[in-house]
Amino acid sequence: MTERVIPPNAHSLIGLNPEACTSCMICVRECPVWCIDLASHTHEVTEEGARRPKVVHVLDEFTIDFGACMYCGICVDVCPFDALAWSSEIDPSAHAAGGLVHGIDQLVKWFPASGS
Amino acid sequence: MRRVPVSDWVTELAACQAAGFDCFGMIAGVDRVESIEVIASVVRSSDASCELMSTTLDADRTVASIAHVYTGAAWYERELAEMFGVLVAGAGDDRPLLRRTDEGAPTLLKSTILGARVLTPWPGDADAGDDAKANRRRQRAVGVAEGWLVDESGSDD
Ligand code: SF4
Ligand code: SF4
Repeated sequence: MTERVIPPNAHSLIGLNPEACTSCMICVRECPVWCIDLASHTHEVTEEGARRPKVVHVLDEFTIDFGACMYCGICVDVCPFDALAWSSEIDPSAHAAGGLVHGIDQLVKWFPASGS
Repeated sequence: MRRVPVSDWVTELAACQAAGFDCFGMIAGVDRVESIEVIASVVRSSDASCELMSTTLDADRTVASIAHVYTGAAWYERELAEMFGVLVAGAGDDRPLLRRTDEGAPTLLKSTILGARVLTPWPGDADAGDDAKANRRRQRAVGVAEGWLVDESGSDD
């Protein structure tokens, strides 16, 4: 039996680092097949010594529909914060339409430990 | 890529086959707006070399079928007909490929309005942060041409 090894730089899936994501919407808007969706809200933080509170975006939801994704990598390329990266994990299958929509919980597991 | 006149399309591809290009690769249409370009690729299995050939169609958007030279071309010629409105002369098989009917404009022409792109809510049509939505300026999605979206005020933007 030949052992089939997936190269570590394979483009199998896309992982998300929610800590790095600023909810800027760039990937959502650039995705040609509209398969990324995100929801966020703004939150005011007052830092000590600052004159005014600053507004930060808090990511609530982030989904990629791998049933529609065509693995073009545009989202990975355009993210200014390197919050998206290729993963070489085997892409999962699903039993029903919509079963390949994955949210933050799953996407974070696919974010490679050392970045892309 | 070799550019050939549309009148030589079949003879040029038959010459490729005679020159040992035994595998058919693909045919693709390209909407150049002012004309339709058709590109074919064929491969020689002995040395894996590939020949790319292109032709620009006249206003009648007609190209002769090469399915009698390369059988596999038939599928791509159906695609050309369905997606680019190309008339493939002498095609043995003109059944629609993906669309259930041949009604409506050819899907891959740039002039064709894609209904799903207009009717499906665009996930990018929101600003970061829920409370920023009130004064946002409407943006247009990739793949949605100017003039496809008309809001209530009648303006596109
Ligand atoms: S790889 Fe391409 S299709 Fe897939 S989510 Fe990213 S931009 Fe969209
Ligand atoms: S482009 Fe990057 S930072 Fe911006 S929303 Fe997408 S993943 Fe987050």
